[in-house]
Amino acid sequence: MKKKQHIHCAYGIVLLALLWANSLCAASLVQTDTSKVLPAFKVLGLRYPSFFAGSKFQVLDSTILLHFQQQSLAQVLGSQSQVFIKSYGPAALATASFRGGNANHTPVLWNGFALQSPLNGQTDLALIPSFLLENIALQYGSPAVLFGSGAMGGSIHLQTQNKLLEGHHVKLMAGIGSFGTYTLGAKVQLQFGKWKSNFGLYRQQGLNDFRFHKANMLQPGEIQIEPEVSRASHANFKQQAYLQELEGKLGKYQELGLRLWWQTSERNLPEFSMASLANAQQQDQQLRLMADYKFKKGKYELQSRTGLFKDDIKYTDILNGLSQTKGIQLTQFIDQFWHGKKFEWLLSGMAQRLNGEGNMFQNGNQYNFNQSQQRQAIFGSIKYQEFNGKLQQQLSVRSEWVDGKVIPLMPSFGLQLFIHKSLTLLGNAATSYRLPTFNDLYWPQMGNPLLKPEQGISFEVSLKNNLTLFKKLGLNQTLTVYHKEISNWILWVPIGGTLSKPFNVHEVLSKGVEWQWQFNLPIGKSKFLLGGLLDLTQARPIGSTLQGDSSLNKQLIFTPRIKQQIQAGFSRGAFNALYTWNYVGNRFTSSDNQNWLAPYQLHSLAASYGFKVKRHLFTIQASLQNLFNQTYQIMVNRPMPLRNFQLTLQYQL
Amino acid sequence: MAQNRAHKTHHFLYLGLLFLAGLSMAFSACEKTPIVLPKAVPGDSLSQGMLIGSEGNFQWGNASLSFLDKQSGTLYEDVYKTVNQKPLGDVLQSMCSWQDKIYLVLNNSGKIEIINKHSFKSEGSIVGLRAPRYMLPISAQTAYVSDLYDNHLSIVNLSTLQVSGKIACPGWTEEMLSFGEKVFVCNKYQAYLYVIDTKTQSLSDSIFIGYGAISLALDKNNKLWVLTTGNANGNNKVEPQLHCLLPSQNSIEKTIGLGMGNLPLKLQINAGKDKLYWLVQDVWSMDINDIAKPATKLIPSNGRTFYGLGYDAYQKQIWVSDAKDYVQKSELLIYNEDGTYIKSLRAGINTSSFLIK
Repeated sequence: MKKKQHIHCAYGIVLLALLWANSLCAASLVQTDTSKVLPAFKVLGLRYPSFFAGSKFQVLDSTILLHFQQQSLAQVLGSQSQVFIKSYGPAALATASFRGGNANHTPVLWNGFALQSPLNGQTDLALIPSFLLENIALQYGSPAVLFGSGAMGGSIHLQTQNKLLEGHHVKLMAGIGSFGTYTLGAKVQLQFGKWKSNFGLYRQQGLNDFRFHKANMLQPGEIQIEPEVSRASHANFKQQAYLQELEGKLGKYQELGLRLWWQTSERNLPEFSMASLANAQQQDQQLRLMADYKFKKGKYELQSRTGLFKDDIKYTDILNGLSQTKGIQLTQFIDQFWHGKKFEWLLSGMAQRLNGEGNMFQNGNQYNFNQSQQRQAIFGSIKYQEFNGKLQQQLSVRSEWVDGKVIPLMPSFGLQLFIHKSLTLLGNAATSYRLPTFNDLYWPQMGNPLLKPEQGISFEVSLKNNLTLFKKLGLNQTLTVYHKEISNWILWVPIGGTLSKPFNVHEVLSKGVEWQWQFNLPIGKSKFLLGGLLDLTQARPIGSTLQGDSSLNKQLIFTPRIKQQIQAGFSRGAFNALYTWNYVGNRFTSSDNQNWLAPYQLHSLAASYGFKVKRHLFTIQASLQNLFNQTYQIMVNRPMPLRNFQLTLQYQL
Repeated sequence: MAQNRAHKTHHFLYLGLLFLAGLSMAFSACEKTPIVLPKAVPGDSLSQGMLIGSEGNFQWGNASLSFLDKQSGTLYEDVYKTVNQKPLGDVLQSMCSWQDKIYLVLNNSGKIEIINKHSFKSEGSIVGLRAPRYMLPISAQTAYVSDLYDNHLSIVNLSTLQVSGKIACPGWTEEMLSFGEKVFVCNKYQAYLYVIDTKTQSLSDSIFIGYGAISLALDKNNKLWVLTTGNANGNNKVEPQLHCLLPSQNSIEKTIGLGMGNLPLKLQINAGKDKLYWLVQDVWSMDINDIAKPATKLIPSNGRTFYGLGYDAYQKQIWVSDAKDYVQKSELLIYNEDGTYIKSLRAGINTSSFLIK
C-alpha cells in the first residue's frame, strides 16, 4: 500500500512538473525523439560522461543508425534528436545548435577529443558518415569542466567502436539514393587474443542535382513558390573516409589503443540566388590520430591520451582563386580516477598546442597568417554517493591557461537522486566558457586579438520517469527545464565597407523546456513504439554594447522556439519500420525579429528487413524522406530537396 | 480484484493527465510572430523625398527600397515589394535617377531593376550583367555599368535594355562620374583612375592616384575629387588619399593624405558643392579649399557602426546609416551640415545608399 502511495506520489510530481513547465513556456520549444534516454553509465565507451552526475544524456544507438547508413551525422541528428541542425542543403555545410547556442557552443567529440577546427571553431556534421558510428550520445548542458572551451549548449559524443563486440565480424554496405547518390561501406572487426582491430571504409558520391521549387520564403509576406520543379546544379560531391582502430590488453592491468580516422571530401558549392556564378568548390581533409593508454588496478585508474588532429580546407572560386586554411591540434590528457565505494575522484591535466594557418585572397590582396596557441588545464572532480548510490553529488572545478593567461576558475555541481525506482531527479549548476577562435582573433584585417572569452552559467533540472502501465506498456519520459546565461557573446559587426570585426557584444539568456517521451508495447512477437520530443527554447540578448540595439529581448536568429518530433515504430522479427514527423517552428532571420522563415514539417518513413542465409545476414533497408514533398528552407534561400529515397543492402557475417 | 481495478483506473488517469499536459504544452507553444500591418503605398508621387536603399544580406534576397516623403514626413518601407508584389532582389548596391525612371542596381542578382520615378512600378530590368555595382547614364540612349567581377564596363542601351557593348577595364570597377565627353571610373584594386572617351566608347587615359579609387564628387569649381582606400597590406603600402583633379587635363592638383590604416568610404558633397563628407568609422568633413585633412571628426560614431552616408541637397542634411549587427533594420541618423543631430528612423537591413527624388 505504501509502495503504491510512492508510485502515485511519483506520478503527481511528474504531472505537476509538466504543468509547471507548461506555464513557463509561452515561447519555448517542443521536440521529440524516439531514441533512448539511457543512464550516463550505460553510455558505452565514452570517457568522462560516465563519470558525470546530473547530466542529461540521449543516445542514438545502432537500431536508429540502421536507418541512416547512407546519411551523415547532420541528417541523423536533424531527424532524430533535439538538436537543431543548420543545414545549407544536401551535402552542404551543416552545424549543430543546442539550447539556443550556436555551432561554436557545441563540441563534437571522438573519444573525448574535440573535432572542431581551431580556425572557425565548428565541425561540419555533413562530413561525418553515420555508417562509421556505433553510437551517438548527446550530452545536454554545459559540462565545460570536463570538455573545456566551447561546451556551452551541449556536446555530441561519437563512438566508432562497439566495445561489446567479440570475435571476427564483417559488415558490407552498398546503397543508392535519389539524385545520383551511390554509397559503399565496409566495417571489419578482427580479434586475435587480446587484440582487436576495427577497420572502416566509406565512400559516397552524388550528382546531387536535387529537385526543389524556387521559392521566396522570407516572412512577412506571401510565400511564393514557383510551380515548376528546378534542379540543383553544381552541387556534386564525393567523400571518402577510412578508420582504423587497434586496441589491446598489455597484461592484467594495462590497455593500449591506437586510432586513425582520415577523411576527405570534394564539393561543388551551388548558388541559388546569384546570377553571377562563382563556381565555388571546397575540399576538406581531416586526419585524426590518437593513442591511448590505460592502467587500472583495484580502485585506481590512470589514462593517458594523445591526439594529433589536422584540418585542411581548400576553397576556390573564379574571383578569388584558391584560399586555404589549415588547423593542427596536438593534445595530451592525463586522467587519474579513484573509484571508491562512496567517493570517486578524478584528477586530470591537459596540455594542448593549436596552430592555425591561412592563405587567402581578400579584397584583391593575398593574406597569410600563421598563429599558434598553447593551452594548459587542470581539472578535478569528486563524486559522493549515499544511500546505496541513490543520491549522487558531484563537485568539479577546472582551471585553464591560454598562452599563460588564466581563465577564471570554472566550478560545477551535479546531483542525481533516485526518488523512486520509477523516478529520478537530475540537476546541475555549471559554469562554462568559450575561447575566441583563430578566425575571431586573427582573420586578416578583421580579427580582434583583444576579444575576451564568452562566459556562461547554467542551471538545469530533469525528472526521469520510467514505468510500466497495464503490465505491458512501458513508458520512459524525461522532462527538463534549463536556464543559461552567456556574457561576452561574440558577434561580428560592420566596421566599414565590406569589413566587419568580432566584438564581445551581447549577454544572452536562454531558457527552455525539453520533454522526451516514449511508449513501448510488446504484443506477441510484435513491438510497437510511440515517442516524441518537444523543445521550447527562448534565447534572447538581454544586454548589448551596440547603441540602440533592436535585438534586445528578441529571439536569436536561426533559433527555433519550437521543435517537435513524433515517431511511431513497429518491429516484428527481422522487420523494422519507423515513421517520423518533425516540426520546426519559425526561425527569425533578422535580430529585431521583423523577418523570419516559416515553420516546416517533414515526414519520413524507413523500413528494414533482415534475412539469414546460413551464417550470412542480409538486411535490406529503404527510407523515404520528405514524404509529402514539402518545399522548405532551413537557412534563407538554401532550398532543401523534395521527396527523396535511399535504398541500402547490408551484409553481415 | 477491486485493487486491480483501482490500479488500472490509476493508470488510465495518469495516461489521461499526461496526455492533457502534453496537449496543453503543445498548444501553449503556438508561436507568435510580429503583427505586420499592410504597408502603405505612397500616393502621388510627385512628392519629393529621400529614397533609401538597403542592401539586405548577401544571398538572402532581402534587399529593399524605402521612401521618406519630405512633405508629410511619412516613411514608406519596402515600397518596391509593396507596389510590385515581388521581392526586389539580392544586395541593392546603388541607385540612380534618369529622366522619369529610377535604376536599382542589384549586385548579387546580376541585374538592374527599373521603376517609375512617380509610381514605383516596375518598368523592366536590365539583365545579363555579372555583378553590377553602379550605373551612370551618359545620354538618353546609353549608360555605363561598373562591375565587381566582369573586368569590363558594360554599355547598356536604355531603350532596348540590352547590354550593347563592353569596355575593357580590368578589376573591380566602382563609382563613375561624367564630365563633358569623359567618364571617370574608379577601380578598387588598381593604382589608377580610368578615363573613358564617350565618343569612342573606349579607355582614353589613366591617372595615377595611389591605390584603390572608390568614390567621386565634382565641386563648384568643376574640380573632381577622388577618394581612395590606399593599401595597408603587402610590401608597397599606400596611404588612403583624397585627390583634387582637374578633369579637363586629367591631372592632380592637390592630394591630402588620410592616414595609413584608415578605410575611407562614401564621398559626398554638399548642396553648395564646397564641402566634402566621407566615412572613416565616423563622419569627416572638409572644405574644398582646405589643404590638410580635418583635425576633428564632424559626427563621431560613439560606438555605432556607420555603414552608409548620404546627403540631402534639398534640406541640406547629412544622412548616416548604422547597420548595427548586419541582421536588423538599420538606424538612419539625420544631421545638419554642422553635425548637429536632428532625428533618426529605421529602414531596411544594411542601408547603404540614398537618392533624392
